[in-house]
Amino acid sequence: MSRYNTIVIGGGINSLVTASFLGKSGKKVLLLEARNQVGGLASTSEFAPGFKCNVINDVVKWIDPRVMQQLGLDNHGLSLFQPDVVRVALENNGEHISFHRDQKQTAASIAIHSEKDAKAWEDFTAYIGKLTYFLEKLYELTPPNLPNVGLKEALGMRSLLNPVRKHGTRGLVDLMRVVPMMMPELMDEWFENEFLRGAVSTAGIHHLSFGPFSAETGYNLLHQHVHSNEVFHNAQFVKGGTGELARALKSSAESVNAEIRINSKVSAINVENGNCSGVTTTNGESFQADQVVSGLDPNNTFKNLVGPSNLNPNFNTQLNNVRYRGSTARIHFALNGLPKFKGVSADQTIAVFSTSPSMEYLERASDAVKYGRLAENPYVEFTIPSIINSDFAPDGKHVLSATVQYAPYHLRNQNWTNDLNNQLKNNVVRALENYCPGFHGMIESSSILSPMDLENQFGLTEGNLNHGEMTLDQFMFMRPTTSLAQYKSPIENLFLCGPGTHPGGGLHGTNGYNAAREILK
Amino acid sequence: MSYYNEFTANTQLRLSPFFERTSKLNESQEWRRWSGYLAATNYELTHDDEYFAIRTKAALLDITPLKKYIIEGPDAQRFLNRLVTRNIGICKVGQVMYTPWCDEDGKQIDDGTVQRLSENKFRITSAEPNLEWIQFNATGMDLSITDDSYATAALALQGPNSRAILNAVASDTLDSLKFFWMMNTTFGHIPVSISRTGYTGDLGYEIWMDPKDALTVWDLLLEKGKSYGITPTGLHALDIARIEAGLILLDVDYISSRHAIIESRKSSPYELGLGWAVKMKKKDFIGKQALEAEAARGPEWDFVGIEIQWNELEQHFRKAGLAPGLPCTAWRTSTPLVKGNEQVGYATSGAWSPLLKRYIALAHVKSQFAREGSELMFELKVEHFRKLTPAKVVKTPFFDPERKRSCPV
Repeated sequence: MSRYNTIVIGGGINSLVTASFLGKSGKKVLLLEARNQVGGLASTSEFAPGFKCNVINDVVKWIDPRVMQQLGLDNHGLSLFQPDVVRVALENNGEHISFHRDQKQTAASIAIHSEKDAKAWEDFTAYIGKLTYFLEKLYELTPPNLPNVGLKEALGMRSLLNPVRKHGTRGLVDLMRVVPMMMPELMDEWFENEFLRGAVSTAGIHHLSFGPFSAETGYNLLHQHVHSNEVFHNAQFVKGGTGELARALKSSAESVNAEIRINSKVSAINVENGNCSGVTTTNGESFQADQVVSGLDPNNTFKNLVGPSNLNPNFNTQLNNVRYRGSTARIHFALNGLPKFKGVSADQTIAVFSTSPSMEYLERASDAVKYGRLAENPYVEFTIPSIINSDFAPDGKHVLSATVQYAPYHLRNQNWTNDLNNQLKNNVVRALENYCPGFHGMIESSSILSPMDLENQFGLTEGNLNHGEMTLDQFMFMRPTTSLAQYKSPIENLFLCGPGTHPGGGLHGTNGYNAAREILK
Repeated sequence: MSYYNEFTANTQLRLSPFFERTSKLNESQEWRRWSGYLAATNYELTHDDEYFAIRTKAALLDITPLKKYIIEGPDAQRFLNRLVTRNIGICKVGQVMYTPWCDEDGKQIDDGTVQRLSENKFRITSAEPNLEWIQFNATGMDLSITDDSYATAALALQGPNSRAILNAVASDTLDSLKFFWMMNTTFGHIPVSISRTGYTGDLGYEIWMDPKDALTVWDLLLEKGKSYGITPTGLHALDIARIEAGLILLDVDYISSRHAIIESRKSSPYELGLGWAVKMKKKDFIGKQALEAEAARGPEWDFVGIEIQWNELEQHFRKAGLAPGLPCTAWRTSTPLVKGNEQVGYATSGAWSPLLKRYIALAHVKSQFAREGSELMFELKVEHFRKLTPAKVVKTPFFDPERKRSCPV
């Protein structure tokens, strides 16, 4: 039996960030990853002979600047690539809207569809930028333990005054309005063109199980644009694949003597009398530690690893009430060439593409979740990562990786089977054929990850990529539950650092940073 | 013209499998609701004979309304140890344990018995439905939970002659069956299990059987028990006996923490005189942390027996020109207990004990006034006016016969 200061369960981005900061402060850290590589949702791997893909995320929307700077990730080999064109919303006739880092270019692209909307664009991005500034400050904090907020906690939140000083209470009021809004309401205030409205709304439904006509999609839209410097649909790519972000963090953790073990699946968190003392792995090894930090979701951490006999009834109820309901699938296509999209120029092919003809299209796709079936006409967001990373595919060949909504984990009168996976793939292929005729013929092989596959392969409860839905009832001091919102748990010495905590999902590492700060307190 | 007067009950309450017999024997036709069943209050016009059957002969009570749950599976022991405050790990097969169970704030939800039927099979009995709580806390554990309430009929045979009757009926002797143990045997061809348990604090047994055998078992017991004075007994008699035995009753002496609408209505096992049943050496169980803290700071309340002093009570009535008036059945009205000018407690149930010739009650008393011998004033109503009359904290059980625990061999 070995002894450590801290054991970190899971090797995703947040776990690696926590391990790095704890190691940096002199703790003896052991990180245990169940899979054969670290990275979790930031993994890159081969999915067909000679073809590699970013398994879950092609794009890093934002990284917590505190993580970037304090861990010096540049020195650990992290190289981010920020394309000029971040997003292309595909249109049937080739009249796409391209979203650029330069807003004037975006406006020019919008002008083809609506002069009026083009004029409003810069104001819109400034408006979103203003609101996300509030979130940026909020995300840096550990949520208060309501209702027990003392003077100390209140003072700890004073940095929230910065955005108020900068944007006035008007800014705060705008935030309060937009966060619970649904996309059509927000779009009504800004844009008239339905194609643009659909293309913008996709930010509101990213990885959610509901559509743009749902309240709180405003919050998700803002969440996608934190630290995006007013670049709408901001996208940055990691050179060499998203897995390189994990590799840089691994290097950072190892540089402060954190020990990282792969193929080490934790089977139990050892708890006695409400006190956590270490973990046991599936191969029977036990490790003792002063603290255990779990990067897994609350369900896996508590229900599966701590075990129901160590959970108090009230806490158990709270855990039961966390909503997961993954509805996002991933499909990777190995292609025999570069797919051609009418009206897409060569410099645009590195961007993220979306198929979002209208808000109504997106909403109809989301209906599938309600009825427990696959969206026949799904929302597809895709990239061709082999353009930036030539080693992703053999010469002349390419990889197209698609994120598909909606494919609900909970199906009605059917189960996730190979047949259903194929049906999902066919729906996606049909959707892409609209924009790229002949796409079907280019497919050499494909790899499908349904929410069920995501649960089985990545330990994501119900396949939810955010470790719990990004909704306001699971926000801040309620994320993932009121008794877990300070990264601590009712079990002594057991902490959480994953996306299930404030401020939610993404490859930003904020959860891991905040968790490390709480552990070191 | 003659007609046959069939006993039927025009009720939405459940009828016990013994109802066919009890309904005809119930001369008073007094019934009360017990866990959704129609249960006999007393069979004769008054309960006196039934009470004395408990203490001097043998009383037969239909206890089918008890809630019964079967917990079975590899995790059954682990689960029960988590659920209840006593250590189920040391409960052997064939043993029965009386135990409270609490919520996570250490407040009592209910109390009942846990019978270990086999290594991985247990039966819980309780006054109130607990299925939801049991299921909720068992999520993720490898076991099955069955509400056995309607699938098992039960009788209590209580009193000094109960063993002799059972020895006459059962194919095995009960002479060596110890207090809070159980055994399987047969009545003729009918399989029954018998536990040496009860709610009277006397020598007594509870008999568990398939409902289809209920009437045969009833008839057998009445037939063989006749010469031993077996007496069908209702809840009025039982209520006096259980107070004499110092046994608490849910919803009378305490309120389940699941039903209490304000904090102060909840009680911990320490506050109900059940501190002995809280096993702190046991691994984590629901409410342990809160109970540890409570034990460390000392419980605020205690639950005690009190005896209302006779002479002073008699004088109160004499002053009013009356002979002492005592309730003829057990009462359940919360009654203040006063020390000086301050109310320091309240009695929740009480009765004149016909056997002990003492006026006794069970009471919640603030800990500093709860030690044995402590003198308090009990509120008494004499001809519409409230008086205070002395009462003393005494040891419970008020009545604790040797035969309750002893074995002939």
